[in-house]
Amino acid sequence: MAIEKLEGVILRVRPQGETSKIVTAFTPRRGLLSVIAKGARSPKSKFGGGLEVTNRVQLVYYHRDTRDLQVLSQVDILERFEHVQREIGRLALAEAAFEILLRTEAGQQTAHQLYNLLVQTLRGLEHGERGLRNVLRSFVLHFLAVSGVAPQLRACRRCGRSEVPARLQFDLEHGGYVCDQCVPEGRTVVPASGRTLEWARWLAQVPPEKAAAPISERTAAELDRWLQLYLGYHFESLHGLRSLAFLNGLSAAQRAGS
Amino acid sequence: MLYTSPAIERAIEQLSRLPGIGRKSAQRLVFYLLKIPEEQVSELAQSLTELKQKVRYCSVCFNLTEEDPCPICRDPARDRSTICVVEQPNDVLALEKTGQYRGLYHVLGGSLSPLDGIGPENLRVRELVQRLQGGEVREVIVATNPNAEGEATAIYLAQLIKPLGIKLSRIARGIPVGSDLEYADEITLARALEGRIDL
Repeated sequence: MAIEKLEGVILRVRPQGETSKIVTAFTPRRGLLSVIAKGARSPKSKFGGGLEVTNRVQLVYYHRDTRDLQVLSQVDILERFEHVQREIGRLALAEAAFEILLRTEAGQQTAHQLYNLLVQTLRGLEHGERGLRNVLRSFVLHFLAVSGVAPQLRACRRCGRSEVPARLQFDLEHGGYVCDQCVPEGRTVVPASGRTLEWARWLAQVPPEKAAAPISERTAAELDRWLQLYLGYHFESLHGLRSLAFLNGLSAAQRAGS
Repeated sequence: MLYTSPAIERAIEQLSRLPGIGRKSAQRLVFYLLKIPEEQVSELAQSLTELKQKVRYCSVCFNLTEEDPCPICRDPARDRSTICVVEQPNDVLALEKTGQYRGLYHVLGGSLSPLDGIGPENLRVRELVQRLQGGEVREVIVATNPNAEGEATAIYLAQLIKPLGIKLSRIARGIPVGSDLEYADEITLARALEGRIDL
């Protein structure tokens, strides 16, 4: 049994029995890692506030290859995202990114890139002020790129023209877009405006940390519809994300209240 | 079937459905039940049946009770101007043990959790706001758990309750009694400093 020290972001914490917690973290070296924090539910636990979701921490644990669940020995906080932890809207956006990583069981090969992406996303949600949902949209587009299914947004897949058309169709199957007049028969397409394509191009370029920016409701709705369908098309496990349903419910409640 | 008795097999199957009890533990419990007097087993079975038949949620505070409203909501000695909002019925029990609180409660039934898809509509938030609109309540104490979901729930409730002009407070968080300051982590210490009081 070896003692390992790993950096990671805490994605999920679940109570285990009377006194312990099961902590799932995303680490740059091992991808998803589950550890049991014995005694963590006790008020005098040595883990204290270190095991809060979204915390970037250093985990010290006893590693055994034959075990799925490793035993946590120590946790030290490297970075806190206080606004994300305290505001339900920011937390829900962060947890939508977590849910994507948890459901796709992102592995070791791309873990380092995904970890950097995750930390940038949390920083974007922590420091951004308006248009925070663009941070999540940017995370999704970068996640797709790291996973090898990035949509081709430079030019129409059929005629090759790179100028932004007034109307277009996102092609789920071939991972790009086609101009309105180039739509082939029998394809699964999502209609959108040229403005939506411009936003998609920008969000795929900019790091999530800098993606917070106000966006019109219509463009946001088109982007979200396309991204949700695209995610679901390429990853069966990403159908019906709970965090997104939560976010949509929260936005509807806030609109009704305002 | 591993056992010659279908009754044993059925009992093991039922017990292993309980949280934290695997098949091995269920087997041990079944063999223990077979050894004890029949009256004891009947009492256990009866208490479990009664549990489901008699215990329900209080229609006012949503604590678990056999009578509706619950004894706390009916108690005339309770301070009806203060409501303490908690996540679970267990939290009411923990606060009652202190003997320090004489107000009423409101049990939300959990905390907001995007990852689990638990939104405000899944909690008893609307019922809380309805209670507060009665005009009798002057203070709401939010005693949700001091974790990310509990904090986010507290802030969400604050946004709903503040416009009603009711005093809103959050239970203090920080150093546990009997522990050493040097071993406390930075989050716990920061929260303790935030919640410091005048001497």
